[in-house]
Amino acid sequence: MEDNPLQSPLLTRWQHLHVQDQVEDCDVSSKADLLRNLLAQIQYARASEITSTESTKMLMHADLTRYGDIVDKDVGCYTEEVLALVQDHQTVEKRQWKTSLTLESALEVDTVQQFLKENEAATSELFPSGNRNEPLLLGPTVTTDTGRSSDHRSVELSSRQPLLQPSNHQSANWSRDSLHPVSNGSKMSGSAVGLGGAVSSWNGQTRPEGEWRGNRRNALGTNGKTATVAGSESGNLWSGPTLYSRQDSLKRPLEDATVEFEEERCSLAASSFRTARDQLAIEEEKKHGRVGGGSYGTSKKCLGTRRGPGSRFVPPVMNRDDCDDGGCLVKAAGPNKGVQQVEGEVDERLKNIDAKMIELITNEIIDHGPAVTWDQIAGLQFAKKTIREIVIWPMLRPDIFTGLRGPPKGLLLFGPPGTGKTLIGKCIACQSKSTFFSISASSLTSKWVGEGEKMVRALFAVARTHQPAVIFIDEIDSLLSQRTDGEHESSRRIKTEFLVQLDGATTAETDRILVVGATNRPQEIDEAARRRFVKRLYIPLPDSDARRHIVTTLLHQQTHCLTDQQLTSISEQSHGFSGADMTSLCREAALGPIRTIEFTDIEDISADQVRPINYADFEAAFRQVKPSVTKDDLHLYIEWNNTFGSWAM
Amino acid sequence: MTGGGVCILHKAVTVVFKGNGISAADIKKLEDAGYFTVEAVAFAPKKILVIIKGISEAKADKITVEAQKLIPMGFTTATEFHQKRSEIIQVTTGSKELDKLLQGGIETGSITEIFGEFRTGKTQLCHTLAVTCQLPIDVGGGEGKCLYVDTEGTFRPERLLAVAERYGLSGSDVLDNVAYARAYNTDHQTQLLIQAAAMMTESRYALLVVDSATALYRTDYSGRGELSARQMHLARFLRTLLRLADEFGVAVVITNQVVAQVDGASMFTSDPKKPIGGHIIAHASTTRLYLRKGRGETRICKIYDSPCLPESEAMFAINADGIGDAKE
Repeated sequence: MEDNPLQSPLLTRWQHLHVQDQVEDCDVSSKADLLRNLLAQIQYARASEITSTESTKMLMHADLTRYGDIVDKDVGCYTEEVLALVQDHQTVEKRQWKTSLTLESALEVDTVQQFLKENEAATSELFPSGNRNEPLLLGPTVTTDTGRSSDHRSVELSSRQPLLQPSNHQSANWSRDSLHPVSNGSKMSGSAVGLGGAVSSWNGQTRPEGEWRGNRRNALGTNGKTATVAGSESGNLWSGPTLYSRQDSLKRPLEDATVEFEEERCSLAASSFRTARDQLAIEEEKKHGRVGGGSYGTSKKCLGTRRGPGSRFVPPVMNRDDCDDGGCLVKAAGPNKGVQQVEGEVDERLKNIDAKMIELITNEIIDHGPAVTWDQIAGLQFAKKTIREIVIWPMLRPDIFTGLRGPPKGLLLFGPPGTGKTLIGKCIACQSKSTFFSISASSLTSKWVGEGEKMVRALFAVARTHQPAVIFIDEIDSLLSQRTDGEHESSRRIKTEFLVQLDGATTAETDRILVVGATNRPQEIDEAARRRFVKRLYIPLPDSDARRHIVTTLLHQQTHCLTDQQLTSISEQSHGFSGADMTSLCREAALGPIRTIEFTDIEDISADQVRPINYADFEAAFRQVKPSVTKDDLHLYIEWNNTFGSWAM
Repeated sequence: MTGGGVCILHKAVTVVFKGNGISAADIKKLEDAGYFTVEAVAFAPKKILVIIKGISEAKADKITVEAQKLIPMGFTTATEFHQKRSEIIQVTTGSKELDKLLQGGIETGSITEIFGEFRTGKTQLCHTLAVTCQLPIDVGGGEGKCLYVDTEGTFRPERLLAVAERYGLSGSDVLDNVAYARAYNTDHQTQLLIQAAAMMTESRYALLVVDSATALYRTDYSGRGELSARQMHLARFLRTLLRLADEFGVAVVITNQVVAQVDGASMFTSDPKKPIGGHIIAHASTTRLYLRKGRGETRICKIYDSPCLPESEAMFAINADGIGDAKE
């Protein structure tokens, strides 16, 4: 070994590869690749005379054996598969390949022998005789000889042109491969094809492709140009598009055969049937003027997982668990959606009721009202407590609230205007998980005589099918006022129907329907209706704590600079104000800071430049906003509450 | 043979005959001639089997004997038959009224003929059925594919998509489940049925539509001279359809055109329209439905002939999403 500038990088590289080879546990293709690299390095080292012939021999022998194993064993696997695939096909190519079977015949060809002789001569000239008998490869056949000779030849080449190194092991491999068919005997053509197949299955690896195509070509070499020629040419392998093209031309018949095979399998008797989807595509094409002539049926047939007319039936039903529209009544897969379905499916209770009325009533159902929480209702602790008792708890534990403990069927909220009766209604809608109907007089009355009663009946029938249900009727005095002599017949009938439905012969004990009425004229409610509203809750004007709560809640979104003391003062000063009055007071006060801004500045001023609301604003607002409820009005409510109310004071 | 058992009951010729001393070559010949199931062979007369190229008389005898061994062709009790009848699937038409009239829908295993003037909804009904036959059985479908033979060029896949949307089905699957072929002449039309038989052995079909079974006959044969030939050809076509219905339990829906009676006798009838095809088609189809136009998009369907349905009428509508109920 002499010092060589090439030596150290070469050694490093070899070491690197060797370690990689020993350590890494990769798949067949990369392993083979690695080994080839290693072999190339050894050859290179030898060519640059870094290593001695003997050591090269040793190194190469080990690696070559392993490489050979890989090729034999693993590529053999591919070969079997491809063989099986191709066996059925008696193609012309196959017959041609068969003729290439015997290597002996190839060797008998003049050019080969000539070339061999030349090689022998060249080697004996170049190398000492000992080198010739290197047991580089297995088997003392002619093929080995050829392999070796071409090996020497390429070594010679490479000594001149180190860049051509790969050719070395290329030819070595080739010779090894050409042994393979011999051992396989008559399967020669099969393995050749097999290699081709293996090549095409190994995409992404250009190097093996090039090599193996070369090998295959060698094996196929029929017309005397043969193996050795390829060996000598192998230097061109890496820069040889011509070679590739030649390989391709060889490869194509094989591919064609495969394609034909596939097509034969695919094309069923159903050639003139196509799926409606294809037909649609064709029509689309026609429509857009892109007439593709004969490519119609064929062009899109094989794309993706598209099914042909001969394929299996696939149920087109989509896996939807439930549809969101129309509440819980409409089935997803039902052929007819909507009201008819409701009518058809839902029980007897809706049988005698007009579908249109049912639809009108179902439209009154509020799915999710405005989000109102109990905290947003200031004061009114007793009212909230009662409502929780008769609405929320029975919902949570229906098993406890039975019999005597059963929730009342009616709840009347009364009190001066603007005290939060409607807000409580909204809150019930939001908080209770029952079906919430918000009914006003307009949704129950009709221009037709007799329709109104039917609407009331429909309302209760629908509510019964949607149990538990809450029917909230705002301004109930419009519907259930005192029955007098002078009133119209139809309005009386609505009232009586209402009373019958609320608590009559047809109502069941177990029905879980709560009617919530809100009014500010409780004294006008019919006495029979009053009886049916078991719980009658007086919703009074807010007390000073509640007013303070209202103010802080309302001011929560605004910037303000009110002290606790000032807040207390405001709540004291606003005695007699209803909740609605408090809201308008705060609105007025909130406008105060805006009013101080100059008119010209209002366009430019940014939102955070507005000054916070202060006490002076409220003082000004107090001059503008007056309570809307008088003491006398309140007196009436209190009196009525003392007579009929649930929480008499 | 019920529609429910489409795929289970029929036995492919290849599978069954192989072990019974019938050679593979003969089976191939039978398949080429459109006999894909043992039923088909068993139901075919010997005369027809002999016509098949390469089947000698002796061979035909042998084949028939083997087939009849496998297929029960003797007597059965009415109870049993009633039981079988009650299992028959009916494919919904999309309109409740129409389904009520038909006592469930289009019956599988028999031929339903729909005739009427143009724009009476024949093709629309066919399109709707092509989708509803794919629905699950419990919602009135047949859980099978549809085979659509179109002679008039009126098949529109978009319509199928619209109907699929109405039932909440996946549009692409629906289209993939419809095998469509355009027939260009009467011979081709018959030829397609042989292919249809092959396809039906491969996957489950619930419906076979021939949109206008007679349109091509009207033009391929003209005048009294060819009348006999035309009727014979038509009869053979219908026989094949009936065979498919029997073998595979598919619902066969054919449409028919009408002819106006212009002679003197028609002066006194209010509706001088008659279905074409004469007695041949009249006898071949199990249920005959007569469609006529109502007001607007409504159409009226009348039972013209049926072995069990009472003669009455129903109104339905042609909506954007296929056949539906008429709105009041």
